[in-house]
Amino acid sequence: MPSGAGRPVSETGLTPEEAHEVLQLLGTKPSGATDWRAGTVSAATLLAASAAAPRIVSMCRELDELLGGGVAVGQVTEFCGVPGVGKTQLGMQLAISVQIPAALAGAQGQAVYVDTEGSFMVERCADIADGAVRHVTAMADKQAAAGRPALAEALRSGAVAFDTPSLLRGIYCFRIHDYTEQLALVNMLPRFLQQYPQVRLVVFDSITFHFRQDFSDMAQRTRVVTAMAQQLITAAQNFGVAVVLMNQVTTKVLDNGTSKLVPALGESWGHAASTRVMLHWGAADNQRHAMLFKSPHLPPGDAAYAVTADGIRGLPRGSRAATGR
Amino acid sequence: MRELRNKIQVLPTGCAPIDTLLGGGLREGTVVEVAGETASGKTQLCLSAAATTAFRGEPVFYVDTTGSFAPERVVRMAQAEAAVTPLAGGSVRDGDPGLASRVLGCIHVTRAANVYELLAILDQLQAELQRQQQLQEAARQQLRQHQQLQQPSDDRSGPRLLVVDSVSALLSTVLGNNQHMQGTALLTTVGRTLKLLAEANAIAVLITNHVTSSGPMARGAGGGRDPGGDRSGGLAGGPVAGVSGLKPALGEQWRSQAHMRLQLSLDDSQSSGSGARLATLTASPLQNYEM
Repeated sequence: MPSGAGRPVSETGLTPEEAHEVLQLLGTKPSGATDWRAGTVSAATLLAASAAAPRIVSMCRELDELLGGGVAVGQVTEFCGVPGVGKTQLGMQLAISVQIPAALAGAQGQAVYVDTEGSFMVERCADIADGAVRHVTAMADKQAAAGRPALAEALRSGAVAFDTPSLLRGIYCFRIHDYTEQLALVNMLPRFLQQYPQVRLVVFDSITFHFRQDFSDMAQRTRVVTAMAQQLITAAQNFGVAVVLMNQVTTKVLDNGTSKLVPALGESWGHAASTRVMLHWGAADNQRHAMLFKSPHLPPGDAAYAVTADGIRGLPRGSRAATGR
Repeated sequence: MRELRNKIQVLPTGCAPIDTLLGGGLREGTVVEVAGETASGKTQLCLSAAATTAFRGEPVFYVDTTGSFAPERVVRMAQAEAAVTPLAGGSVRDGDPGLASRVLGCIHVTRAANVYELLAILDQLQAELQRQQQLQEAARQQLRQHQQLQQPSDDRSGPRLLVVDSVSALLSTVLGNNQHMQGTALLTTVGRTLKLLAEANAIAVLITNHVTSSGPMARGAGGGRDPGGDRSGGLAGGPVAGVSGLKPALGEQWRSQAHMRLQLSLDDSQSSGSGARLATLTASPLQNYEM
């Protein structure tokens, strides 16, 4: 029966006028499928695309494994946590490591950093860049020692620029002072990403700050915030960038009188990010922990990480054994 | 094979307790809404239903509005389904290498960034299915003229399951005071289109909704409850509060748009690592089932 893709219109028994009407109704090109599947993508295609997409590593192996190899492009990932747990450090780390060369399975892209709290410290970012340069150089030397000198030579000749100044040049920073500016930025983000197609990561640090004040009408806030979330999801998918949102936490009093820390901005915001990670201090070992608590395809889990002079790293092996992990 | 297909009136979700709760699974022609807080498993239920349906070779139309469709997860769910399914004519074997592509090939995914795109997608689907039905009807008449009734045409070429995950992500952006009339009109249009699609084409429709706290303010705006929704299950919350003090979002206008409503919540009584979820059917007398 008539269901085959790309079937000639004449066989469907429609006059050319009717066929034209149908195609207009579809809003698709005549070359596309002309049955109910028109406009859709097969899930198999999506699987192949997601397998081929690069991941942005955090430089902490446990955290990357928790996220299925790193922060995914084309998706919105949210990190929430109390002040000082390392949200900004993680954001800066990701902005640096998104630039890791493709030869090391990196995204070899650039980053947009949206600073709403004034916490982006370029000196600190340079430290993290130094650490990344050392790491990449060591990896290139290791590859050269293993008989694959291509990357080391590319680094030496400058064909692949991976030094601190070029890493810092690869981060486009926006300082946002109120929520109007933030909404305007989100509105113009697609145009910016079109202009700078090498951008693979957009960090909002934090997405929450301006929405926790100046709002008397909470219904309006919900509407504005969910619309912003929808725009970010669309931008992430259309331009193949990873959108990373830093969120603050708030205390929620439970029915039984106890309280727990939950991400700020409430229940409706919880749908904005498809992957959510809570950064917290481990109760037992006084280490920083990342807990994955929402993901469409990864199991929930926990990973300890450390903030070092060089940026985000895994715990040293000794201390990991000491904490029993 | 065709007989078997025609007999199936209910699509399993891949989760036996929820199937029981829904009276066997997702019924053709009805709209089932899944509401729940974040990470309560709404998307997982959608993916599971899509995987189970696609595993049986039935086409699925999946509208993803939040970028949460995860093909990797669908493959794993289909593999789990294959592991527990007895051999069906030898075509399905454990470790079937073609399983992933076969299952994923049955799922047709589209993305909607706003409510207008969603409506366009649904309208287009309805128009296409209607056109297809007309063509099939014409073909059947032709066959009848040629006395070939022993070869009835395959009358199921559209999707069997339509998933919209999530409907509230799009609708909550247009609902509010200043845009009240327009928002409500869009909301009822979406609901009506979904119902029409379900009924006219015998499609099972699964949609997701988020929840809002049914505090005093929400209660004032929300009004009464479902006629059948007797909620005296010992859960803390006001007399009209939903499950764990949460009720489906989108308000009273939306309430009548789904035939069945299922509310998912995290099970606090279990240890947090157990992954247990509670599913409560809120459009029928209260029953608690654990996933």
